Amino acid sequence: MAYVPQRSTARWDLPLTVSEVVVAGCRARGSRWRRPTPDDRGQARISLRTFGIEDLADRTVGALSGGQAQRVLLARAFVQQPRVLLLDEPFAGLDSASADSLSLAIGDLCANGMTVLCAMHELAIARSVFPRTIALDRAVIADGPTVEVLAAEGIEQIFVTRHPSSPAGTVG
Amino acid sequence: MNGLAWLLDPFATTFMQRALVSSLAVGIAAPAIGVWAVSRRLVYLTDAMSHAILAGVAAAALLGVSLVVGGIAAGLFMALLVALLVIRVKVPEDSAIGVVGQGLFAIGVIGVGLLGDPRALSHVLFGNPLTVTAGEVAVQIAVAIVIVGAGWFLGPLLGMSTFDGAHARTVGVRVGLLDTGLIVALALVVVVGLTSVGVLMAITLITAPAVAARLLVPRLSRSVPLASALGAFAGVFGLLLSYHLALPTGPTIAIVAVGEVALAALVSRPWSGRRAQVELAGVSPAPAHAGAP
Repeated sequence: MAYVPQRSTARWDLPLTVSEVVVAGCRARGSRWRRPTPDDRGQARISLRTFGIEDLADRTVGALSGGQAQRVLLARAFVQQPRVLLLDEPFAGLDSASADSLSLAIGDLCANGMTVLCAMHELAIARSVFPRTIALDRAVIADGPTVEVLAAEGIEQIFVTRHPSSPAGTVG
Repeated sequence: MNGLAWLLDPFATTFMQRALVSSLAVGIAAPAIGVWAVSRRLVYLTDAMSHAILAGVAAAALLGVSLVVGGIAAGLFMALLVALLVIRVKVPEDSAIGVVGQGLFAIGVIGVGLLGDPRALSHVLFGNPLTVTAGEVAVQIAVAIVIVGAGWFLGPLLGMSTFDGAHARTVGVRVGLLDTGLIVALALVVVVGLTSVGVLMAITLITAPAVAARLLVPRLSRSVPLASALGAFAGVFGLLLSYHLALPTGPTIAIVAVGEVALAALVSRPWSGRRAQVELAGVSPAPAHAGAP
């Protein structure tokens, strides 16, 4: 299992490269103390390609946009080869182009058999990416196929107007 | 005097040759660990620890045991006291470091006074590479090899756990052990640097070349060898300057190291460079990480 937090407490000011950050996920397997192997770097490159940020591999993390930084953290989690990936508001603060490419990447993960559990408020993205939605407002309000849950009367009201802080849990 | 003679003549004597090797060893080792102290914002802790180490060194000298062991014990004791104050008593970290560091420093000054030699205190504080023994140089070389080797092997691990300690823990990295190792290594460098540059100047060799290297290369991994090269240069050039100008050696080495930061700041000029890059790219500066609404 791998987890991508909403507001990472990471030190984005450090002059580390994107590939150095992503290769860190490889430490989830094998010895934690070793230096990264060529195999680790290969895994990191595959992960960067999965999220469409291979061209950023040698970029310093401080030079990334919000959307790019989010995808770097996803790539780092993906390198861990988890069966379940937990995402906390990955779309928060992203422009629509970044959100689109992130949606596509998450869709690919689901298609490849990974379970992605994602806390989010963006109902349009939930509709396009995730097959199953759990609507939460302190308690579980609805749980089922996304099309049905989000078509239910009043759902948009709950998420958009009355309780902007209540998350929608979505399973892909 | 011609240039070559200026460089070589001072090293005709054994004590200057020893001073050269000693300055090189400390000059290479201190910045190699210093890069991580700077990246982890441990500079103030290291500075206070270098003061606290005086208490351990004085106690060891009075008890007739190894100064290195006494110094490291005092460094660890200080880190433990700071951690207790911060975690248990909820004292802000910088306050805890200030109080504990100065308290142990005061004990150390009194302890060194008890040794009876009036020159001992200035010797421990500011060092004198001209008086190092062959045995002390051997220890410094050994420490330099261990620090550089461990730094190379653990560099990627230190990088990832400095970047995101929470993530490092989730993948099973023992961040606490790594932090403790880093503090022990910093204490070790201060203690073995004591005889050549003194406890107060060791912190300069830990910090200044690392800061200069960070200004000059935009990669953490590449800044480590550059920092060591700058530290070695400060050690050798400072030693030569102090010889020819008849200045105290430890402080002269420290001034050269600080001068490297000033030069690096002038060369890198990040404040004007970044604006120029933005203009070249034809985009307006925007916050890198837009917060969630």
